[in-house]
Formats: sequence, structure tokens, C-alpha cells
Amino acid sequence: MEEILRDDIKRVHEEIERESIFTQTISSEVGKVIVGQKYLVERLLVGLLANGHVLIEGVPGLAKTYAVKTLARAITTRFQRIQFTPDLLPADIVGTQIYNQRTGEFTVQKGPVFANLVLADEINRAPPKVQSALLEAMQERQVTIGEETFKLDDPFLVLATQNPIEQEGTYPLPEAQTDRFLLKLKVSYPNKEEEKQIIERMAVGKEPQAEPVVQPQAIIKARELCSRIYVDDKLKDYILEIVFATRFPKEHGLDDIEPLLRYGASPRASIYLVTAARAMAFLRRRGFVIPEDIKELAPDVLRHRVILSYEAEAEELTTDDIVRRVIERIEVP
Amino acid sequence: MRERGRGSKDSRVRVRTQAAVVLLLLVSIAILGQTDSTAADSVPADSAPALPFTVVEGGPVSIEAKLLPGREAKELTVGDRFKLELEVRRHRDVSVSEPMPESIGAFVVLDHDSKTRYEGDTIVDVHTLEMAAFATGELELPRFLVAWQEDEEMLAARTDSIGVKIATTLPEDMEDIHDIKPQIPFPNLLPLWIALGVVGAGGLGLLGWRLFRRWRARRLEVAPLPEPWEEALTALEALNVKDLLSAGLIKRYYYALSEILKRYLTRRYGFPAIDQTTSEMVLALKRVKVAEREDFVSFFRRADLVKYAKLVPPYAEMEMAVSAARDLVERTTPREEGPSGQGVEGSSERKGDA
Repeated sequence: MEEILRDDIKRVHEEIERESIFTQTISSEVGKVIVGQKYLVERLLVGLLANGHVLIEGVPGLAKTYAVKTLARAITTRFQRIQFTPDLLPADIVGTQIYNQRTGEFTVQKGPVFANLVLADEINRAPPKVQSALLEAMQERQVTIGEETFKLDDPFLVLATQNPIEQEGTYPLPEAQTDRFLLKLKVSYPNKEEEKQIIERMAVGKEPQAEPVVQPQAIIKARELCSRIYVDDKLKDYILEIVFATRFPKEHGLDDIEPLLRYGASPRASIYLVTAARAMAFLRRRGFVIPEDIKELAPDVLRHRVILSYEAEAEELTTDDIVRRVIERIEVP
Repeated sequence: MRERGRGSKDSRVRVRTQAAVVLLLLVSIAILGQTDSTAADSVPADSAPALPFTVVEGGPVSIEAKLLPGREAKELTVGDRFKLELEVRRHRDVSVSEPMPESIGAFVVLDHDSKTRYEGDTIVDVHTLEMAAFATGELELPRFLVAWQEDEEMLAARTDSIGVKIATTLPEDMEDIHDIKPQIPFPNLLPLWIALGVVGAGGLGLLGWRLFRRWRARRLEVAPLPEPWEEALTALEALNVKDLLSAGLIKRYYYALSEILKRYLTRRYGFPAIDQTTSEMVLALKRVKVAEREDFVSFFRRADLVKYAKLVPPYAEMEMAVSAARDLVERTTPREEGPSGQGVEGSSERKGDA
């Protein structure tokens, strides 16, 4: 059947077909170590491709940290893990200046943030000034120590984890700071079958290890390809409809949601939803975005960007419930 | 010895005095009790009850009453205060009661003041009573008594009666004070309210009934929605394929086709196809067990490429797309009931409209 796919889209489509193989390689390498958690691994790859930081939330023992470490291992890149604790200082993250007695000069000691993949483990356990130091690096992609400013390497990705329970002695991230994360993932328990596989795998005694299979250059190239993925105007409108529906639910026929929302999603949500949808299209080996990409990623992009009202909290509703209602009721183009 | 004899005499006098005082107090209470009950009725002095003591004249005790100057008897009106002075003279060895009226009648004692002076062996008690009368006419002031005990016998001295004229305070032309107005009966409006309520409820009921009839009539006027397949086929028929394609509005053409089919699926099978992506529709069609699921899915997937990936299918395929959509609708249209009475519904496994 003769058909005409526009040249630009066709070219991108073909390139993606070729270049996106590495995502499958990473997935299978991570799959050697991590059982299940397909959602988590896929979203981490979205973050990697969309050049956006990822916040992972889940109860202890769900392999959040392990998944991130494995992903980092599968990529030939510098990986740093920072365990956030209440006594952590900003200098412990970004680095500091040390006086050299021999030369009589100050030399810069770079902190663990100077890596390609940074795992900020239990980010909500450190005080706000430490969180700010990291989030500033995330936003600016540069760090200033003393009078010198250092650009962070590319790719630079922060994968932060936090625990929804044991909130005593924690410093929850303010909404303005969580907004800087591209995605907020909620990791759930593995199903019975997956857990059985985990038991069997651990029973062997030796923990399986992922091997480096991808070079950072491949990721940078993939990012460039992602930016060329076609997003139709109708889909951009669809994204705006979703985001605006969180801000003005009544105008979108969502009268019942109006009293449940205090603040809707920021413009970053629209920008990130387009970027993330492109990354998802790349993972699905397409040169164009379809509504499925948007609908699938919308909860992860929006859940930390909408603020619920007291009424919603009183009704024990979560942002996920509200976002789901919004997405379900916005007409797909 | 003399001292002792004097002391015993004194103690005897004191005991006697105390007994007399107690007795007199009891008598006074009894008389005052009667006085209270009779004051309002203006009982004349003559009808006073018999006293438990003997009135004597010229004994060791005398009592004299006089109206104090400043008030002439004729000037008195109802409620005017006047002073009555009672002078009781007695030997110092004699203890007497307080002066007490035989019957107080229409008078009241408002205030009382006593002073005592000594004139040799005689003690003079001067009692000043402030009184008022609450009856009109020529009245007699009550006679006052003072009692003492002598050899187990109760004796009393009494004042002479004094006449007073109590004038009315009313104007001359006024015969009497009018009584307060009688109670005005409050009109009982309950039956009226009930009647108004019944009328009002009836009126509202009538109005409601008329509105309901009007609403029902208007509702009946609204044409019922056509069947989903009829609506879809009409919409497909109305689609101006040639014009759209010749104008190069391929995307709009495919959007229209998708929308018609999505609306059809929504109404036909009851899942919100309009708000769903193709992947979601695949699951929904599977759930409602539509046999033509694959055909629907491939149609929507193809339309997705046109809509979201700027795909331009061959002209013939585009022309045929409307027929393909019509075919899908027709194949999933429930058929008329057969002779056996069983409905046949295209090739779908689901019966009836959702």
C-alpha cells in the first residue's frame, strides 16, 4: 500500500528505529537484576531521554535505590549516591574549598554532585538548605564553589527517592522544589509472581550485576532525536486542555473537581508533558507522539504539581485521584 | 440582810416584769394578727374582740393620746401622714407593755418612735406614732392600751377616742375610680389560617400540575435520539468526502470519521470511547466482546497515523475510509427480530443497546 509519511517525520521515525535499540538493551540489562518494576525502569529511561530529574516515592524495600544503581551501572557513566541525613551540609553535596598549606592556596574539592547520575537517597531527610543546594544544581546544571562556577557534565540526572512513611524528622520538599522534577513516580509492591522470581533469584546467593552497555553519547544523541519527534497541534492542545483543567476545572466541565483543587499545574507541566511524551514515543520507537504517550505520562508529570484543597484532604483524596479524574474526562482528539 | 432583802425584791420584780412582757407580747401578736386581717375591712372599734385584761382608770399607769399639731383632723385626706403622740405615765416599779391599739381599723402605723423621761418616781414614756388612714369619712382613731400585771391580774389603761375626718383625694365631680378595662378577647384566627393554607396549597398544587403538564407536553415534543447506528450512518452520509479530500483537508476528514465512530461506540456499547485513546478502546472493545474489534482497532490505528503523524494515505484508501466506517457500523447494527422471535445482532456477541 502506497502511503506518504511526511519526509521529516519519516526520517526521524527511521532514525529512531535505528537508535532506540539501546533502550531495549538497557531494559534487558536492568531486567537481569531487577524483577518487575517495568513501570519504574521505563520512567527512569523517560527521565534520561527527556533530560529531566525524577523523584521516586515508595515504601522501603521496593528496590528503588537498587533500580537506580542498576540503571547507572548499565550506562558507562559516573554515578554517585548521596545518602541524605539530617546532619548533611550543602558542602557535602556541591563540594568546598580546601586550604593547601604547601602552596598556600585554596583548592576546590568537588562534591558528589559532579557526576552524570546522582542518586539522592531519602532526599526528604536532609534540611531545606541541603535540598536547595541540590535543587539549584538540578535547575542551573552548574555549581558555584567560592568564586568559581563549574558546569556539570552532560548527561546530568538526579534521581531522588523518598519514603512516604516515617515522616517524623523529615523535611518534605516544598511544592516549588518538587516542580523541578520532571516526573514523580509512585512505586508499588511487586505482584506475587514477580516476588516469587525475586526470592528464587536471591536464593542463588550471588547477586546478579548489570554490565555497562550504553555510552553517554548514545543518550545525548537520543535526546537530540527526541527533540525532533513530531507532536501534532491537536495533541499540544490536548496537553493544554489537561493542564488547564487542573487550573480551571469548572471551565472544562469538571465542576465536581473545582472545590478539591487549590492550585493547578504550572506551565512547567505543559512543557515537561510534551518533553516526556516525546521520550515515551522514542521508547516506543515512533517518530511522532500519540495520545497514549500523553495519557500514560500525565499522572507522573502532574501528581506533584497540583495542590489539593482541605476539602480533598478531608475526603482522603490524593492528587492521583484528581489527576485521574481530569485525564479520564478530557476528550482525546 | 437589808441588801439581800432588797436584792430578792428586785429579782421578784424582774421575774414578774419578764413574765408580763412575754404575756403582753403574745397578746400584742394576737391583736396585731387580728388587726392585719381587719385593717382592710375597716372594722369599727366597737367590734373589737374582748381583751384579756381589765381596763382601769386612775391606776398606777395612765395613757393619753393626742394628735400632734401641724395637722388638723379636718385637713386629713386618704394616705396623709399624721402623728399621734401617746404619753404613758407609770410608777417606776411598774412594768408596762408597749401601747397597742384595740383595733387598728382603716389606719396603719407607718413609723414609731419612743422616748422616756423621769419625773421623780414616775417614768414618762412618750410614743410618737406616724400613721395614715386609708378610708374616708369621719373615723375614730384606735384607742391604745398599755397593760401591766398586778397580783396575777392583767390590768390596762386606755386612751380616749379621738375623732378624725379623712377627706377624699378625688376631684369633686368624680364619684369613684374607674375599674381597669375588662380583658379584650383575642380573635381566634386559626380557622382563617387553615382555610388560607388549604386554598394556598390547592393553588400551588394546581400551578404545579399545570407546569408539570406543560413540561411533559414539551418533553414529548422533543424528538427521541435516533438509534446509535442510525445516527452514525446519517453522519457518515452527510460527510462531504469529495469536498474535504479535494480541499486537502485529510486530517479533518479522518478526525470526523474517528469522531463519528467513537460516538457510535460510546452510545452503542456504553464505554466512553470519546475520552479514550485507541489502546484504551482496544481493551474496552475486548471487555464488551465485540467480534469486529480487530477491524475497529485497525481503522483507528490508521486514522491515528493520519491525525498525529501527518500520514497521507493513497487517495483510493481515503475515499474508501468512509465506506469502511459504514461497513463497521452496519456489521455491528442489531438486526430485526427473526421469525423465531430471537434478535440477531450483526456479528457482535453483545445484545441490545448499552
